[in-house]
This record gives sequence, C-alpha cells and structure tokens, in this order.
Amino acid sequence: MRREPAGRARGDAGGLTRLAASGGAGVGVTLRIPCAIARRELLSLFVSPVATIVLFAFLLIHGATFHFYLRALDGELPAVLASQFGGVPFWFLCLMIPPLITMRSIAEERRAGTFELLVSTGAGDAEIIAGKFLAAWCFHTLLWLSVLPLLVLADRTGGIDWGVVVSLYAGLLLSGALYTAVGVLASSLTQNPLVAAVLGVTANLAIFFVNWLRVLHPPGALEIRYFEYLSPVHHFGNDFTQGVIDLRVAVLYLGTALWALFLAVKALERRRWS
Amino acid sequence: MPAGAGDEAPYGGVRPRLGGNGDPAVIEVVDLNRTFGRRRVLREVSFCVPPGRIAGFLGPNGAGKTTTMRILTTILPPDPGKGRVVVAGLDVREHGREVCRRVGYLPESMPIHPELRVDEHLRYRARLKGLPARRASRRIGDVLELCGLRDVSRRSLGVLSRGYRQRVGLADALLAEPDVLILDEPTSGLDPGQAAEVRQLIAGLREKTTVLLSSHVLGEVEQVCDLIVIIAGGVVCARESRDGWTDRLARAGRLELLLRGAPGDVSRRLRALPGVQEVISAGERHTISADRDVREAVFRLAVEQGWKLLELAPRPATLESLFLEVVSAGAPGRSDSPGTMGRPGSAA
Repeated sequence: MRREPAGRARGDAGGLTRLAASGGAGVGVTLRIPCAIARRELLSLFVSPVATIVLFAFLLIHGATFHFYLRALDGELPAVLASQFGGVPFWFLCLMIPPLITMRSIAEERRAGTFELLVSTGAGDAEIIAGKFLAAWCFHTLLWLSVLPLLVLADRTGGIDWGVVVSLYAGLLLSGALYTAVGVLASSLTQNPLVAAVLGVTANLAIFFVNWLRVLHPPGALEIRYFEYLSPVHHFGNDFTQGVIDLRVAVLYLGTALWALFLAVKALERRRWS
Repeated sequence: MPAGAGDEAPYGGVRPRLGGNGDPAVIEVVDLNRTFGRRRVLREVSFCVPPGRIAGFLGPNGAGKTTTMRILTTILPPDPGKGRVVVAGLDVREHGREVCRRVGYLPESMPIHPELRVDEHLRYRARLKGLPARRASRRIGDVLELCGLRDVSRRSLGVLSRGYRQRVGLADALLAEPDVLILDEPTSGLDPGQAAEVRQLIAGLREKTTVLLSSHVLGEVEQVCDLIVIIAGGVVCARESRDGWTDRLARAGRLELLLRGAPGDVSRRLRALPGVQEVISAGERHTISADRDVREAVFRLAVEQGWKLLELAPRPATLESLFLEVVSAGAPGRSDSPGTMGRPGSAA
C-alpha cells in the first residue's frame, strides 16, 4: 500500500490541461487550481493595504537611490544602471522582499485553517504550491516593473542601453523565481509567518554569500570558478548588467527554484502524516 | 432501516449495503484505521450511510469524528491496510479528486480569508471546484438565497458574525450541488433561531443529498437524523436507525408513581408484575424500570389493591442518556485492543 495522501490530484476534470501527472499524490497538476489560487492571493494582496505599502516603499527606495547615483556618477547612465542594480539597496530589496511576500502564503493558510478547506476541493499539494509561487512571482515582477518609468525618464537624455535593461529584467525574473520559491518553501515548513520570513531571508542570504567562500581558496583556484558560477552577485555584476543572458545561469536559477518548490510539496505531503 | 444494528458478521471484506431498497450505501467506511505517529486515533471504524439519509455522527471530544470526516473528504489519508473508505461509489484512495468533487464539506470552525467579500469567496471556491463561470454565477445566487446571505454578499468575511460565517461555510459546501455533505458541527456558534434555520435547511436536503453531520447538540441529531453513529476512543460504539434508537429509548424509559395508602411491600408487588425489572421506592414515590409498557398493569394493580394512585407518569429516556450509556460502555481504554462494542455487528 502506498503511503500517499488519499486521492491528491488523480483523475482530471474534463477539459483541464494536465501539466504533469504521476501516480504520486500531490504531484498531478492542473492549470485551473493554481490560477484560481494565484488570482485569490493577488486579490487579497491588493484589497488589503499590504500591496500599496510595499509598492510605495519599493518605489521610494528606488527613487532615492536612483537620484543619488545620478548625482554621484554625473549622470553616466551605464554606470548608474550598474550601481542601481548591483548596490547594497538593490541586494537588500532582492533578498528581503520575496520572503516578505511569501511568508504568509502557506503558513497563514495552515494557521487559519483555510488550508484544510483548500485541500477539501481536491487541490493537490503541487497545485497549491504552484498557485502560491505564481502569485508571489507575479507580484515580485510587478514590483520591479514599477521601476521601469524611472529608466524611461532617464532615457530622455539618451544613453540607456535597452538591451542591458532587457537582460537586467531577465535576471530579475530569474533570481526572483529562485528567491520566491525559497520563500514558498520556508512558508511551507511552519505555521508562523514571521518564522517563515526569517527562514526565507536566511536562505536567501546563504545563496547571496556563497561567493564569499572564494576567500578560502588561493587566487586562480578552480573552486573559485564554481563559487562564481553559483553567485548571484557575480551573475548581476558580470552578466545581467552587461547585457548578457547566460543560459547556464538561467538553468541554475530555474532548476534551483523548481527544486525548492518540490521540497515545499514534500513538506505539505509530510503534514498529512503528522 | 437497520443501520448496522443487528448485523452479526463484521464488515471486513463484505461490501455493506444499508439502503432498505437495496441501494449501495453512499458512504461506506470499512475497518478504517488512522494513526498519528504512535497515537492510534481510529480503530477499525465501520459504518455506512444509505443514499438520501442524514446520519448523525456523535462522540465526545477527541473521539475521532473530525479525523473520520477529514478522511472522507480526502484531507487526510487513511492508514494503509485492508480498510476501505468509499464515498459516492468511489474509493477515496484511488479517486480522491473525484470524491472531492462530489462532497461538500463544512469544517468545525469555518476558516476564512477575512479580506474577501462573501461573493468573492464563493466565486473563488467555485473556481477551485471547477464550476464553469455561468453555472458558478447561478449557483452562487442560489446558495446566497438558500443560506440567507443575500444581504451580506458584498460584505467582507472578516466583519461577519460567527453565525454568518457558518452560513457562508454551508453555502460553500452546497455550491457544487454535491452528492454528499459532510458537516462538522454545522450549528456551532449559531443562535437558536439561526440553528433552527440551518436544521431546517439540512432536513430539506433529505432524499436529495446524503448527509453526515457531527454535533454535540443531541436534540438536533434527534430532530434531523435518520441514523446515528456513536464513536468513542476511535471505536464505533453504536450504529442505530431512528426506529432503533426510538425503540431503545422507549425501552430504557421509566415510570414514576405516586401511591398513597400502599402497604410496605408495595415494591415487591410491583416487581412481581410482568416486565418490571427494577423498582426504587422513596416514601410514596416509586420509580419502575421495565422492558415494556406496564402502565396498564400498574393501574390495574392499584385498583385491585385499593391504593390511591395520585400520579402515573412515564419518564422516557433521552438520547443524551443513551449516548452517555453507550459511550461509557463502549469507549476502549488506552490499550491498542479494539473495544468489543467497536466491532460492526456488536453495536447496540
């Protein structure tokens, strides 16, 4: 007898698109349920003041830093872009915002009991995780898109390389996928949103600081290349802000994000037996 | 309709059929076990609910009612093993999603997303349940009307009273026109008027929908349910049809007499009447326990003996007393051995 949750995600509704299927409970995924969950998540975010406050703070920080870099770098736009998307405020937002967006996603549902209600509709664990991730990733993307008008404004004087902007946003989408997936995983491990946020930030910091391990090795050592390959700081400094989209980096980010989401599904499955 | 009472053979391996008309039961639970870690919360639980019937699921706190209901709604899986849980003809292990589509579930305390409005919540639930947009709109209108939520449909769930939230939960459970409704304490937190409305609503579903409802309000169960399943310590202690428990209550009733001028051996003479099992006397007041109706015999005896019969009052047993009796007799200890009352066929 399989030790699997009863009946998670078997037998599709007519006309539904099946993205993945297996005999394993909680693995079969249809589009309908993740979309419904993501839609509800975004609705909840925007009917409460949370989204507005986060957007306001996000734009304020970006506006202030953009102004600062413009003045400090005499309006040299390529340098401004590199600083704007590679400085301390940028990494602060990159690492802190996704766990704050995702901290309530699963933890709050479980704490409030709405998770049980959600599962009673036949929503599989993978579908729930997919919906939560989709909502968080969309909101994260929206946050970064809100910065675009600043760049459009700066381009009135000329000098913005839109190819670089495209690669920057590709980097933001990819790293955003990774950080929000880690945030969803953290949220699936606890019923306390605050603990989920702390776990998410800690995990994101660990990913961020991986490049620091290079100090343990002599210059030119092979290991340093490994750490560079894994380091988001390196990817933004050498690829995305230079107009380069490295497929290996894309695979690394998306692969790690999928792995984190898979672990989140497993965390939910485990809940049924405890 | 016998709800398992009188079945001598255990259910193991046999598909129980309870409908008097030969219909298969809509809810079939056969030798269901469930453990959390080392704690065994359900022990070979077996019961059935025939189509269109309303079953009351009774038991003290921690008896395993909610766990059973969660398994029936596929929220929790049963332990692996020979046990079987079939809802609407579908095994919950094999056809969980299809089972979900056929079951409406109201949890004990209706959890909500406080920021959503009532209509938004129902629309969200309709999407999750896979209702097409047009049918969803029609059904939302129907259940808002049915559950008396029309006036609050644009209000946020967070500002609604507990009673209204419970109604929203019921509306949600009814949304997809399920074959089976599983209601965990549906009137919990409602005022008497609201509770009566909900009971009326549930009673109105008889014949159309099969309902399993848990409740601590035994009067409610008595009013609404066609059969009862009593569970204690994870073991089914009794399964009774309405006829069965009515008969049992009648048999368990007592007769109170107020006799004046009766001699000292009145207890002995009353005990000599056919069917009388016990007589408790306190001065002029005598209480008779009998396995049949002895009112006429008592009256005749009083007339023959010249006693002044001032009062002859039947005191029927209540479902509460029956519940307490069954639970105290059937609840197993902490050991892993199932209580004898828990075996199907040995109940009541």
